[in-house]
Amino acid sequence: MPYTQHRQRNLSQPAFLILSTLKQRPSNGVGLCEAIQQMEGLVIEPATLYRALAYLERRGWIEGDDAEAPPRVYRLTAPGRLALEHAEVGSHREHPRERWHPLLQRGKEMIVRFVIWILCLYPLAWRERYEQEMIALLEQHQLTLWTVLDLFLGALDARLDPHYRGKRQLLPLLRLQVSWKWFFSAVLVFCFSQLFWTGLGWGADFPCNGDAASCAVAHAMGVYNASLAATIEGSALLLVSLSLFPFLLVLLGWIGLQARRTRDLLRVLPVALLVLLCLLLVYVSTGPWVYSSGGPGHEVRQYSLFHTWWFNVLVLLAFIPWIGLQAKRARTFLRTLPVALLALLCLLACYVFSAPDLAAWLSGLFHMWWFQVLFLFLVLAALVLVAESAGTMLISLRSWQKRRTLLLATPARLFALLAIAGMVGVCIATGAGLIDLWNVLALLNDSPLGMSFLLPLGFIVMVVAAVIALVALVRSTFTLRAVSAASVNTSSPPQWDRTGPKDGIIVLPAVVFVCIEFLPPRLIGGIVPVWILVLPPLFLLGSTMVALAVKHYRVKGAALAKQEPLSQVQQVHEHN
Amino acid sequence: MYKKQDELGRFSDPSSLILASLASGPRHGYAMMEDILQFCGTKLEPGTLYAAIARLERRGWIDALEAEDRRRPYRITGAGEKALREQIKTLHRVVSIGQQRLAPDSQT
Repeated sequence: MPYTQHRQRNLSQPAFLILSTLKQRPSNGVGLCEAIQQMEGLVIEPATLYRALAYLERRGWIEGDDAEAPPRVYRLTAPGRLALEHAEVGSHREHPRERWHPLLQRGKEMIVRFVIWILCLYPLAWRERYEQEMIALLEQHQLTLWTVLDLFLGALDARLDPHYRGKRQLLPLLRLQVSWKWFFSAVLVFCFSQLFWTGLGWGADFPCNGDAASCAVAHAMGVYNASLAATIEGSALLLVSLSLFPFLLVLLGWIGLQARRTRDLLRVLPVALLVLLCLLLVYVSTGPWVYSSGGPGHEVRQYSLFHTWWFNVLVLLAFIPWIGLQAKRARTFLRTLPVALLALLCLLACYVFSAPDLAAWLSGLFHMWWFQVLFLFLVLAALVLVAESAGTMLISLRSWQKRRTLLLATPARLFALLAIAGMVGVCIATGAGLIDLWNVLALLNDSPLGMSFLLPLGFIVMVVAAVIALVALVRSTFTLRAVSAASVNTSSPPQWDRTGPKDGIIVLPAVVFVCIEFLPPRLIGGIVPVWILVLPPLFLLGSTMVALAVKHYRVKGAALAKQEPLSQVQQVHEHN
Repeated sequence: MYKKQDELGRFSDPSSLILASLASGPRHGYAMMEDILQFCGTKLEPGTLYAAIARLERRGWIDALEAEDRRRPYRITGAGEKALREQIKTLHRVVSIGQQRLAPDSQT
């Protein structure tokens, strides 16, 4: 019984329990302890008991028998009986919750569930240790707004605690996840640095006023941009063609497996469609959808299928059962949110793409910040969904994973390494272009303020991106080696780990992207070139592959952790 | 002593309350909250309570016992008792000095 109920009646919980026990029969201290433990399942410490007994005796509600031998026997007095009845009536009056309307009761349960959901924000290591007892506590606790706020603060505190941060990296598979985050951040930083450079050349149409210096600069910019675009497109196409083939193989195998279970067909369709859509998006965005460079007036070539309204409607329809299934399966709303968002965006896309005078409208549309934001949200939502579907896929793959453990991991590894290597290559190519530009910069006597500011900034940001990418590369290489060395020993079928992809992975890039997109155009020197929007879906695919690998190793790691102590895995890791 | 207090961060106060609560015997989270509410009137929220418990446990001042059902009782360790004693000593000093210094003010 919650303590506060009796406090208002001047009775503490031990006192109330003592009184109600003594009401049945007189007893000594030891007897009271045992009776309370039997009745309420509560262990009352001797100190608490005797403090309460002394208090009750002082109030005259109980009396001790002094005549008998040392264990004093206490009995209830008349005022004590009255006080007890008073407290009981009070506690009944203050306990109307048991008789709540079913709807209200349901609402209350939902609140409790929401509060328990907040525990998801705590670090994994923390949750493994404390989550169960915390849930037990929260179910007993009287929930207020302050409880929720306090839980948020507690989660923040645990997140900031270096102890849990350090603990997370003990597991090699989590290290892999961390390097995936690194990798993704590197992509973002790289895209960010691109804004500075391309803003110079394409957006702000650099003036060639007839004097030699500025014309030289304009020319150098043109050459730089052309070579940069060629490098990026070339490496992108290479990566896509290298990585898509094994991915498609895995996908086909998975769809074949799922098709055997007819009841899961509904679940297969949207996922398969989405993955195909993502693949299509990559081809579309690297192919005819790309703007030809040449300033704001450049023409748009369309990709016919992607721009037809019925295709988008089909995609949307495919998502509806998926949303329903997700809402039913997922415990939290957060996971269904990206799906719903994606469907809404698809709907929006239908209207957009079926508009009259499409080409002109599109070219105008792509220069609007809100469209770019929407597009990026679409990409991010797709990322969440693909990561989620990766989980579903892995559940299905479980049956034959044992025989072909490397089937999924090898292409993922290959792609991760290729993508990072490609990105580093792009960084180097860009850096070489920068050196050329650096020389040109010296020719400028009256360089615009924006130019002198943007050049070094772009350079620094790009260097940062390259460093992050290298770190990610090193980390993932080491981790993958450690994991594959450790996984040789495992023979038991892997257990599915129910924890989904970390939301933080998605949220952080989203925040960064939105921040980039909301930068005032004047600051970045003009419009955002569209091929920057091409990069995210491309690297999205790469990150998805890595996410698949992470999921895969998590599954394996769960089995591994059960079999052998963590230190052994660590040793292997250190050995490598 | 003061350094130790600093290390406890923003949960320094709940920590001593938990130690004081556990000084009379092992308790689980909810019982601790109730006990603390009873002896000092502070209503600890679960988030604060468990943040402090995690810190104390890591420091070796309290110990987790075998979980019964889902609830896990905690007990104070020797180091925890020592820390609590030191803390109480400091509090005593603060109280006596505070009283000494306040006394002339209240007379004037």
